Amino acid sequence: MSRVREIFNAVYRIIYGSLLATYAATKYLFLRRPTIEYPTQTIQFTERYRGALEVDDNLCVGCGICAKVCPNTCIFMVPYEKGNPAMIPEIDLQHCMYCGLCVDYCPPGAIYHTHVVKIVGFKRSDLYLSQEKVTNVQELEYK
Amino acid sequence: MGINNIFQDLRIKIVDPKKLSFVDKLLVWSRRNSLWLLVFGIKCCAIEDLMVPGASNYDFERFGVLPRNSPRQCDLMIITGPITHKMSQPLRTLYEQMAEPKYVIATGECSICGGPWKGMYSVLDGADQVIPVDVYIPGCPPKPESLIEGIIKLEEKILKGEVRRKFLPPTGLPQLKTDWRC
Amino acid sequence: MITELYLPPFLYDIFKSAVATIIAIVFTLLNVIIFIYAERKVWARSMQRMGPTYVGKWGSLQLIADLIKLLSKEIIVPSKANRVAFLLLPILVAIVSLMIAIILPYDYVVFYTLQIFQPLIPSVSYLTKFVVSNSFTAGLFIIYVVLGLNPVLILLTGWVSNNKYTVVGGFRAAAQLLSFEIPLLVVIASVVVLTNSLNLYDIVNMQQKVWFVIVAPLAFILFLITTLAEGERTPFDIPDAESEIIAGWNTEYSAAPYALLLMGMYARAFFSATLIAILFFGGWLGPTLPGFLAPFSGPFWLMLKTYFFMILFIVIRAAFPRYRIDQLLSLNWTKLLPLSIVNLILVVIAKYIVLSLGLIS
Repeated sequence: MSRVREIFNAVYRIIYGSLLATYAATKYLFLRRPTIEYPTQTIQFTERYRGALEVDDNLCVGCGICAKVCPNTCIFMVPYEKGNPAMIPEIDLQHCMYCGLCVDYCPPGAIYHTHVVKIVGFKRSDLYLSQEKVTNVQELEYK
Repeated sequence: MGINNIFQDLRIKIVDPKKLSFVDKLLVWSRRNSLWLLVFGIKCCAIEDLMVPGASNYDFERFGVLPRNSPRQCDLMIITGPITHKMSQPLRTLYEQMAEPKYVIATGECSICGGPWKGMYSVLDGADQVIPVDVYIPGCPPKPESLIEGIIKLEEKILKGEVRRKFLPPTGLPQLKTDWRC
Repeated sequence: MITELYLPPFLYDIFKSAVATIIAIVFTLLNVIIFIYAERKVWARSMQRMGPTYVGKWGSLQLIADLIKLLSKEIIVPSKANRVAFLLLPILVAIVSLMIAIILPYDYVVFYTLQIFQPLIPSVSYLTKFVVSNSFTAGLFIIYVVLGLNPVLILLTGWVSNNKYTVVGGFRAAAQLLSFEIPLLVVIASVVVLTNSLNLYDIVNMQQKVWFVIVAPLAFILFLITTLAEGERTPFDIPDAESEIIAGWNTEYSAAPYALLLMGMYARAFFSATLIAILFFGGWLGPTLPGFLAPFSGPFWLMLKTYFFMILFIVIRAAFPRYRIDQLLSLNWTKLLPLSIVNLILVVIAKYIVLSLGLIS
């Protein structure tokens, strides 16, 4: 008798399991999808999201601490303009790992993270942010 | 800068996509819109950067990017993680197994230039030392939006005909370093 | 318009069959595209994704783009493979799969759908004489004879590619398809016991009063499981298990040959959906549609049932995990085969009951 009950239980479990699985798959066909359709929709970044780095050249004093603390040495200090002794950082984004140490250490707060995630390069040199690019990362357009 | 320069001469550059013939337009349109994906996931970026855009929040199948397993059926290879000397041979093999036309995206700083391991005895200076790379996506890891942006940029590049290369150079690809043991 | 064709009888027959064949094959190819598109959409939805949306309205042109791209890609023949057989076998697989389209009533569907225009163009009614699928007296038999060629072709496809993954996939496919044919044919035999006929039109016309799914529910469940295995659909997609053996027996195929193999696989799944509708759910039988749509009602009910089972196949793919090869074979030999023989006995009993009630003649 227990053998019959065993077989009955097995058949019950098979039928119940298959119906449950099919129901679960069917249920999701009609649920709302959480997809963010990226080029037309964007999500709200958190305030402290670490995107591409930007330098405010009005605040920067050219002390070079950011270049010293960078673990990947992706920040280079260059003369601000030709013949000018003041220095400004340039950032090589192909090395940058967005750790944020330079932002933490900058005395006047001149270097900060933006919410820009669009930077994509066709060549490696596209990812080098020279001083013209690094001061307005938010308006960059890559063709 | 790496192997890309060898391929530079072979690229057929079409300046104006409007001047294409109808058949070429159809081909370019179909190639742009059905990029089947070969995942070359080496390190953590494979989970953070490749699985997330494929999941429900940022679904890259909207653009026709369909993950396939066999390299014969794929058009687009996405590389994540640092390429070691030992891994360079499988990478080159997989690239050569893909059917033309084929495109490569390098995501994350490790695959672009070696990342934190740059200059190490076993790590190559980026994936473009082994195979030609079409689009570089920086980040550690890149945001899923960045990867989708990279795919859109690659589609624009295909539209301009910049990646329509046909054959490998007659001299072949540069020899890989075989004595990777230290 | 043609109203009458003055041709000698044998030429007329050839002309008739050629027209019906071309129509059936084009209809099948169209439905394969619809099947793959529906699969990508429904499968994505069951994961709460969007599926293709960017190419055309709701991504409707996605499959066209995929097809053009696959046809324009480079065809790679591995250096260790047998070149002639490697390129010939996908064509054979496609031909063998499409041969079944002529036996199934797809020419009926197309020609009777065109009857909607009869008030406008009266000569359209002549097209109903072009239906050839009702002339196969052993249609069901021919379908499974042709499908029986598939394991051989798939095994050869894996073998000539000369790759370890394709060979493993080919062996798995041969083991699976050959073993699942036995319960499948026993289930088919139970349907034939009910109808005394192998003609698909006779089988449908026997179901005027009661569908066979009510007479033989166990036969329907067994047929569903075995056709899923015969079409290599999940949960029985062991021959091309993506996580185990890269793409199974079609690992080495690229571009156009791969498109042919893919087309063959999905065509077989589509034929299975149509066969379920015909054998167990009364085919084109259903209430007549109102007004000028009246001639369309037969095709409408047939295709509605077919698409329902198509969607069911896709939902099953989304819901169920894959079997292991030893589990699959033990399921077949120890459970499905005894059950199919029990089913045969049950159907014989059911036939006496149904005959005494006068539900089938």
